[in-house]
Amino acid sequence: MALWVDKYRPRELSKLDYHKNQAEQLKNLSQQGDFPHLMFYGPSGAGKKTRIMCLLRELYGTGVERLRNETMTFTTPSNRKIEIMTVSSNYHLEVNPSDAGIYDRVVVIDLIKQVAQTHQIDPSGQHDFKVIILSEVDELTKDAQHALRRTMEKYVATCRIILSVNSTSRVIPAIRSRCLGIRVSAPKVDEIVTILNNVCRRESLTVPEELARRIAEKSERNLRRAILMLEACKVQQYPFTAKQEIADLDWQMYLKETANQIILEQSPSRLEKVRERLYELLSQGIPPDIIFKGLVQDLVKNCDMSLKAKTLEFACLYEHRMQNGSKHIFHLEAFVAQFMNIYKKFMSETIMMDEF
Amino acid sequence: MSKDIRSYFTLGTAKKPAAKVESAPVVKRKAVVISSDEEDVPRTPKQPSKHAKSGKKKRRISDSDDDVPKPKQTPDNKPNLKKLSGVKDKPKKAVDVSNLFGGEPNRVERPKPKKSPAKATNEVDLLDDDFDISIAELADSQLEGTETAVESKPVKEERSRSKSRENTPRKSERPKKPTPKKETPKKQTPKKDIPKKQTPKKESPTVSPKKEEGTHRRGIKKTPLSDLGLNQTSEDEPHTSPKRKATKKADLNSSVLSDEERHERKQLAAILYQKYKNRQSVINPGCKEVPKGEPNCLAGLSFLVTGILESLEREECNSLIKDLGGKVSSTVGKRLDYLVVGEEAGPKKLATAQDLGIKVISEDDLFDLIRERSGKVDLNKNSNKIVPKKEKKEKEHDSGGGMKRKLHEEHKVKEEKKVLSPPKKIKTEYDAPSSTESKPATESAAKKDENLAWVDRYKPTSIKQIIGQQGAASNCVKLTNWLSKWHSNHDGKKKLQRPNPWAKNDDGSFFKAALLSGPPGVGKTTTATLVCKELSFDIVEFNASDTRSKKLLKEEVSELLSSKSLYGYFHGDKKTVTKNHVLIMDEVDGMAGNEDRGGIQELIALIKESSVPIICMCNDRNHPKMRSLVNYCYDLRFNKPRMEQIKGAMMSVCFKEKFKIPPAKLEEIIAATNNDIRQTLNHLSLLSAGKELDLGQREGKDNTAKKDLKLGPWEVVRKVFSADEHKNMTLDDKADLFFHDYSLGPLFVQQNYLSVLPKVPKPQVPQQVALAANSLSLGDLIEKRIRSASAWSLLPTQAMFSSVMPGEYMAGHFTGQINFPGWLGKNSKRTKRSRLAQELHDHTRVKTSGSRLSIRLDYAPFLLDAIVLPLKEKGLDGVHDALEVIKEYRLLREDMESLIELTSWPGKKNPMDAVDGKVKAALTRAYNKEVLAYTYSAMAGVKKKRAEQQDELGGLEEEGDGVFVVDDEENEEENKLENDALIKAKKRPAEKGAAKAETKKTGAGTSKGKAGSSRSKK
Repeated sequence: MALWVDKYRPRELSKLDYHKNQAEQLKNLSQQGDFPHLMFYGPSGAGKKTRIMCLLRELYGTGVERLRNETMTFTTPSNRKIEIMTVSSNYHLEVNPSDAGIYDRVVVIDLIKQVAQTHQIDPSGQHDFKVIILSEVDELTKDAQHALRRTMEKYVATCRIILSVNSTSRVIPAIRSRCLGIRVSAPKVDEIVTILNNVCRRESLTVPEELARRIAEKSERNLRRAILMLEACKVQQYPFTAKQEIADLDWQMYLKETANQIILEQSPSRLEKVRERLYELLSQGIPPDIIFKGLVQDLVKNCDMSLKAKTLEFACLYEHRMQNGSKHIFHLEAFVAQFMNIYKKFMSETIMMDEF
Repeated sequence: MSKDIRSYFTLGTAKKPAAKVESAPVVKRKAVVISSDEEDVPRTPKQPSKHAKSGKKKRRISDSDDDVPKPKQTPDNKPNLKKLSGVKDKPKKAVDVSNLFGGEPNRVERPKPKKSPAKATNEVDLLDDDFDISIAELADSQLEGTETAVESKPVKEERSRSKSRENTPRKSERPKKPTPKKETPKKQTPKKDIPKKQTPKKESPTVSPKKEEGTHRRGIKKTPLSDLGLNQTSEDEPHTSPKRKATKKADLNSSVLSDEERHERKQLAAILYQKYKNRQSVINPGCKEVPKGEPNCLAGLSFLVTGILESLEREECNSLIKDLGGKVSSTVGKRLDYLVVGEEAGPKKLATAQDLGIKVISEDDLFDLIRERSGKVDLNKNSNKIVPKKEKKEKEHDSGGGMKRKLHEEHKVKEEKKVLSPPKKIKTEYDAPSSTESKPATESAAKKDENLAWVDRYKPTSIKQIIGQQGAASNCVKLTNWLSKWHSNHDGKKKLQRPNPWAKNDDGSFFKAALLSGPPGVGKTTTATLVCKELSFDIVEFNASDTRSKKLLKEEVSELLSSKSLYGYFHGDKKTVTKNHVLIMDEVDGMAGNEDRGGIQELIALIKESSVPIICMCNDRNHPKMRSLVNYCYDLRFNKPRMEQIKGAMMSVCFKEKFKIPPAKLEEIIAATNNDIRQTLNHLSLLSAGKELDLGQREGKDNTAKKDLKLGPWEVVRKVFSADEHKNMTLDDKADLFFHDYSLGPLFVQQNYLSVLPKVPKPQVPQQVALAANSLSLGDLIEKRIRSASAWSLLPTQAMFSSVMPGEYMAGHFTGQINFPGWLGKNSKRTKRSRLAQELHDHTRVKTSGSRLSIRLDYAPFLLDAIVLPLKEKGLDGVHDALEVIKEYRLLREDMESLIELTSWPGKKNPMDAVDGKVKAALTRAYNKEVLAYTYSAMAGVKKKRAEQQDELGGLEEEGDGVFVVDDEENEEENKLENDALIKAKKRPAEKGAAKAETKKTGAGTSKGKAGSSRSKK
């Protein structure tokens, strides 16, 4: 009884719901028998992994769907043992090297080499290369990425590497140039609506068009999230109504509330409370840039035009610093402090103006 | 410096004789003799031990040589002595040697006696010459000191001798056994002379001989007589000496004559011996107040003391004279100014004195003279010259009163001072001064003091003097009580309860050890030692300078503690053997590193088994290293004494040192040293050294003398933001604050800058806050740079941004309390949760497609709902549905908890709370029955679980405000069930199960066909 997201995931290139053109090209590519390293990139929930799996199935047949977990152990130069969980079939290996944190380079060097060096034995396999799927490559350290690029060239005869990336900007150009980039953009709202309808049909439910659209918009064009939300809505209330409330994610609500508190009062003590909330968000693993984004979006709503510009300026400044710094909270807090400062100044000025 | 010198001497005395033995074989025996004496001296007042005795006897032999030859006694004398000593040959050889050295300039008067005295002197000379060289370098004043020091040794020999003499009379059937007092003095004289001779050589060779002669004569007279009573058998040997002495005085000759008839001889000998015994004891020791004359009041005058003075030993008298600048000569000559005469004065001296027109004065006259010349009738008691205490001590050593007298005096002194001075005191007295060091003692007490650091000079000598330890509840009293009751508490009969840690009036009876903790310089060690002293405990001390590894502690300490102390025995204490040890482990927090590995554990083991009290001392009892130890110790915490307490004591010290310091200045110093007594004293002594500096100059110095304090982060952050502190801080000072702890400091600043109320107009506050936050953010950038690129040279820059600038912007005062940085706790919570998320991701990866992040942000809540909602709504019926989801996503039971934690937010309820306990249990059972282990379940098993739980605990502790709500009871119960059942029982089956699961999965998937074959291949 899987969740709908996983239950109704397309498994063949031909069954994909959108980017059909691209799917066709991928199919051609796979049938050609040989293809370069690939890099799928696109936002979360757009269907990168789904496409990769479809492609593999196209290459090797259904055998790739017999997945198993494996744990691999590596020893770092400093004699520390790292365990990495991999998912593999007979034909491919999927690994997320960034799980190893700062030791990802070791993983890249050891594991990928090790796998890439061995030839495919199974004669029934249609291709004499294996596929290594590296997910979240943009999270890799620069060292690991550099270690990767030579490996990619060296073992190209025995393996293909498929990278799954959110943002190419964090992948070094050397790797980008070695891969065929395949952009998987987020589905459009209409596409999501159709998919939601399809899902409902298969679940023998009916979903009002309006609700589906609202869900699609709320999900920020994240298909995974949209389907999850749909299921949540179904659990919450069925039959669906068009105006049905769609539950926000907890962290989104929390973030909004945080922004709200900043607007309500500007004082050191409030800043301290906000800091606590930011800590909470961070410790829940919400990426700080998402926090930044959420805050700014909500704060800006309450701002005058001139204030908006300033706010964005500060946001940029501190987010940049945050990326370069080590302790996110320092920069988040500095941003909030700056915002409070300008906001308060602005408010007192407008009040004075009003008095005149 | 003073210490060094002293140590040099102490070493020197001990070693030199040995060295001589090697270098000059001729002198060997004597040298050995002396050395043995010296060894004995410090320790043994009344040694009964044979070894010691023999040593003395040997010594005596040499002395007896002195004595014997002079009188040219009948052969009997020597034999007698030799018999006692049991060494017959020595005298002869000794004589030869002495002859070799005989050409001493000192012997002015008597050519014959020279030889014999020469021997004696030579012996000593050998030692003393060495001393002298070094001494000469030191100071003239100390020269005299050496004398006395040396003298003190002989004194003891005399004692033993006197004993031996006691024996002799018995053998010779002497009618009376002399009373102890009398015995001792008799013999002293000869020996005392010896030392005197030494010194004169250095200074003025001519002076000393006189006295020697006098004394020798006397000694000669009597010794022979006493010897007369002894066997004749050994006459042959002595004959040599008589010949030499043939030219001697009439009385001596007469004694020789008396040999002829035994009876007569015996009788005569008895009489003479008796006389001899009575000779020279001080008639009424200490009956007169010794005047404390001004230094050098006797300068230019020379004295000769003869006979038995009424209240002073001759040595005392001599040293008194020397102290006051007078000369002590040993012969009556033209240069002699005064002849101090006591009872039984040497008739010849008197005669010559009369001939030469020398003033003959009595002891009283001498005192008057001193008073007169020092210009005071009443003498300043505080003057250091003849300081009562020290003098007395010296007397104890030097006085010819012999052992008993010494003891007697000691006791007196003790009583007077009300200082119980068992082991330690005696020890110091004997150890330090009796070896060469006592020079300063005789010279003047002040001199001795000057060689001590102030800290030692004004060290409390009784527990009443310890600063800040008065009062019924003081640590000192507590420690005393604890220690005094220790043996009764731990005799194994009492069952003691571990006291409640919060009980206030605990007397520590449960504990076998005490832990004194407190900052340096408050008197922990002093208190401990003084308390032990007061209670007559023997101290065995180990401090940081000793290696205290497990092994060593085990071997040495346990051995030490199980043995009995002979200390008191050797020092003539009445109760010869003490069992009362106390083990002092000083500076236990210094037990660290490879050297002392396992030291604390061993110490604890020691405490558990110890049969003696143990006192541990440390500075920081909260140190992690101390944690285990603290549980076994009676906790006594020393606080810094208050300013007034220190001030009082310091003022008195200043007064004693005649050093004037304005009270305000003193307060400043005390404050600057942070109420550290020791440090304060050191500073004072520094200031006093530059007395000519005017106070104005000193103003500046005090600040530089300020103690560099190690501040805790709380204190640092307070200073960073305190506007008041900023007033007298330079930029460097402020930056220094950062360096107290540059890793924690910025965090503290960041945590607390918002609770500061800056001194700016209110509307400006947000701006200041923003500025501070901005600079903190910049500081973080720098820190990243420092840490990632090891660019440590950027630290000062970070100091500016992370500490100084926020401090400047927000300078004001704290409105709230200073908190520990939350970042650490939050960060560890974050890493823990991200680990949980990763696990979750790993487990669900086969089924899901998202990245770790999407699992957290999107999947987690829905997944949890999918599991929990059926349970919540359908109760037991929902178990199946829930289990299906769990299976589908290949979750482990503990992933449930992870999910819950990952989806928890402040104010949000734990979804499992709404689920009935029964349902939960049913789920767990069903899970255990149905769900098959995955490859990772084995790993994810018990170990990880434990690690997690610990993490969780740690996280909670650190944060203080735990946000996540964990349903402890139920969860734990369930966890156990699941863990135990699964992991333990089915380690093997687990893998099979995994395989099964795999096949099942594939079956569920699209193709069933090849599953088996491909599997087997892999």
